[in-house]
Parts: sequence; C-alpha cells; structure tokens
Amino acid sequence: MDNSGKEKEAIQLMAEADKKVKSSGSFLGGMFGGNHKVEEACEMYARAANMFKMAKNWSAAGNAFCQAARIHMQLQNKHDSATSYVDAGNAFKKADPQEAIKCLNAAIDIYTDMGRFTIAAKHHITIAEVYESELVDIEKAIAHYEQAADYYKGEESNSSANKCLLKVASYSAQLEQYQKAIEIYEQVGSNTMDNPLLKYSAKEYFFKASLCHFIVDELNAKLAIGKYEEMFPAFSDSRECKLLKKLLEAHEEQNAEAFTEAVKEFDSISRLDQWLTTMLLRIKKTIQGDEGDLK
Amino acid sequence: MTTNMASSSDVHVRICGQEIIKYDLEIKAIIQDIRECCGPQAVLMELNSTVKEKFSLLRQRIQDMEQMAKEQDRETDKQALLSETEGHRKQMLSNQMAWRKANLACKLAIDNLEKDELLQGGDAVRQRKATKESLVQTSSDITESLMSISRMMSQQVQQSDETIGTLVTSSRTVQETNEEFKAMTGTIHLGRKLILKYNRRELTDKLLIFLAIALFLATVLYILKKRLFPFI
Repeated sequence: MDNSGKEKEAIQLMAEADKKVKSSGSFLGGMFGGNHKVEEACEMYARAANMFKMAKNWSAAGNAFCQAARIHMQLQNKHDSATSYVDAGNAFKKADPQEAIKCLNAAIDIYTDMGRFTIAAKHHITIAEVYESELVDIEKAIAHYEQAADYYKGEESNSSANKCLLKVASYSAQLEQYQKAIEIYEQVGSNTMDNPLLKYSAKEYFFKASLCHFIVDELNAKLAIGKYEEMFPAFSDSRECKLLKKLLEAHEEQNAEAFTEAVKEFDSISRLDQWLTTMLLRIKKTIQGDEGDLK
Repeated sequence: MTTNMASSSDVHVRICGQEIIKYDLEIKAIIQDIRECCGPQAVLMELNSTVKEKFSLLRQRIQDMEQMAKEQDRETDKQALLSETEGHRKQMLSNQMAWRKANLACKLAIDNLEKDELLQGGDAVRQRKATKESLVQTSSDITESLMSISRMMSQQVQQSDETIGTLVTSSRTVQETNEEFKAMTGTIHLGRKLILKYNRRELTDKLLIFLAIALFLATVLYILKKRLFPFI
C-alpha cells in the first residue's frame, strides 16, 4: 500500500517533469526561465527515481535516472550526467542487464572524455561482472576486463590492473585460449616475484602458467618449469612445483593411477578450486586419450 | 478506412503476441534442457548462446509490441496492450532469473562431475589388476632391494680402498713434513751462529774505530803544538 502510493507519487512527478521539459522547449518557455525549468525537471526526475527505488520498481527507476542524465548532458553538466547514468545502471542491474550495460557504457564514455580513467575502469569491471553473472557471456567479460586493465595500467594502478588481468587469464584458459593465459600469468608472476609483499603469490601464477603449458604440450611444460625455476628459485621448493614434476613423470609413463594419486595427495593438503579441477581434468584426459589410442 | 486500418493493426499485434509467446516457450524449453544438462562445458555454452539469441529476439518483439501499443487510436486498447506488454516483459525477466539459476545449478553439477572424474578415475583399473600387479611389484621391490644392497656393499669396499690409499698418502705427507722440519732446524742453527758472529764483529769494529779516532786527534794536537808554540 505504501509502495503503491510512492509509485503513484513518482509517476505524478515524472509527468510534471515531462511537462516542465516540454514547456521549456517552447518559445515562450525558453524566454521565461527555460534553464531554470529544466533544472527543476531534472531534480524531479531524480526524486521520482528514488521513489521508484523505494517501490522496488527498478525498471522505472532506471528510466527516470536516464532521463535525468540526458537533461544533465543538455545542461553541459557532465559529472552529474555520468553519476545519473551510473545510478541508472545500478537500478537496471536488478531488472534489465542489457539496459544496465548501456547506461554504464554511456557513463564510461563521459568519464573517459573527462579523463577520469580510474572511474571508467571501475565501471568496466562492473560491466564485466554483469556479463559474468547475469548474461553468461565470457568473451565480452574478458574484453571489458582487458579494457579496465589497460586503463588501470595507464594510471599506474598496477595492483588493480593485475587483478583484472588475472580474471582475463582465468577465463581465457576456460575458453581454451591457453597462449593468452600463459602470457598473462607469466607477466603477472614476473612483476610480483620482485615485490617483497607479493612474491608469495608468484608461485601460484607460475603454477597456473605451467598447467596451461601442460595442456598444450608436455615438453613445453618441462621447459617452462625449468625457466620458472631459473627466474624464481623459491618456485622449486614449492608444493606446486613438486606436484607438477610428479604429473610430468606420470604423463611420461602414461600412468593415470600415479597422476590421480599425486592430485589426491595435493588436494588433501590444499583443496583444489574449480579452475584447477577443470585444467587437471583436461590434462588427465590427454593421458587417457593416449591410452585409448594405444589400445 | 478506419476499420481496415484497425483490422490490419490488430492482425500485426496478434502476430507479434504469438511470436512473443512462441519465443517464451522456446526459452523455457532450453532452460529446462540446461537444468537437466550434466554434460561438458561446451554443451552448456552452446545452450547458453541459443538462449541469448532467443532473448534478443524476444526483447525486439516486445519493443515492437510496445511501439504498436503506443500507436493505437483508442485509449482503452492502448492501455490494454501496454499492460500486456508489461506482462510479457515481466515474464521475460522471470525467464532470465530462471536461466541464471539453471546455469548455476548446471555449473555446480559439472564442477562436481569433473572433480569426481579427476580424483576417482584410477580406482577401477587398479582393482582389476590388483593381484598380478602386487606380485610383480613385490618381486620387483625385492630385486631392487637386493641390487641396492649389492651396490651398497661394493660402495663400502671401494670406500675402504680409498681410505687405505688416503692413509698411505697422509703417512707419506707426515714423513715429508718431518724431513722438512729437520732441514728447518739446521737452517735455524746456522742462522744463530751467523748472528752471534756478526754481533762479536760489531764490537771489534767499534773498538778499532775509536782507536783510529784517538790517533787522528793526537796527531792533530801534536802538529798544532809544534807550529803554534815553537819555544816550548
């Protein structure tokens, strides 16, 4: 009941704001305080949008914020326009993901015009997350994460750029674009292994790069592991490296049982996540495939 | 004219509505397929791309219907069509929610299946070959143990031989050192004699120098006395 009242009030506000915009467009309206009327209309749109939010009518709230954003652009108020587009995107995210992406893209265009690349990158991440969860489109999510990483690198925010790049690498490996994933993991690993705070993650990145090499070719994996050991001596002593060597031996002998035992041993100490499970299963299928060929 | 226009518009609206319903049912069917799917990732991605395509077509149709609703002449028809469009839109959003949940469930099932396949793959083969494999493994282990024992014994013998050689070498070295020390002793004794001789010679040289200076001074004094004082 209360929500319904709020929604009706919001609809009235929208109608009044529309009327103000139309009257400001006419000749007489333009003569007598057109800008003032437009600003009032903008404020009314914002209030209506907030009331729609209270009524949980996300689609209408998003539309109202979009109207406010367009009027802000008319008034050459770029920052408020971008903010309204972001609010519209957040509202649409719950109702219509495609519209949310459109609004966030408009906000990103405005922020890049103003030179605010960090904020633009943040919204690229938001779009990528929408593609990940709502629209299940990994290619587009990868594209937006890459764009965000480029902007962060341009602004010397290397930590945020690395986060985006790791997401790109993870999804690329899922899509079987292993070369791209390998390059990213090697790059991030090389950058982090010299940092005293981040070097404890470098072995994980080299481990993942080695797994991607392993799926492509076993010899590549051997050479890669040797290279990583030279680059980063701590990698040799890590449990990940020991697991890789066991897996390489098992693969050489075409021994699926030894492979399974090694993976079980590793899993019993540190649990495998979904990504590692998928990658190791692909490697194991190459062994079993070879066995099938031999039979 | 008005009747013809209304009839044509009604036909278009009805066709649009039927297409919306058709797409809606197709989407529901594919969502059900996704929910039942336990196959590999590629099948899931294929189904998802099909759903995505149908969603975009459905969204286009709903926009067309909304446009036609706004073009209606009578207000009652317009409101009815707008509410119908809103209903279709809500249905589409609920389909999207169902699609997302089906996707999550399917991904979870795929993950569990992959994990089981990764960790349990070797058991069946191992059970089948247990007896023969264990016997072969046992005999192989025993053979390897015997070989390692033999290697160890030969290594011990070799090590003893090396030890004897080392002892001989060190004994020779010790003797050479003893000889060297004796020579050093002789040299040190010789040095001592030379140092004592030089010490004594130093004293003798001092005395001789002093005597020479005294003679020189006496001569000088005598000559001066004879020249300066002839009468004395």
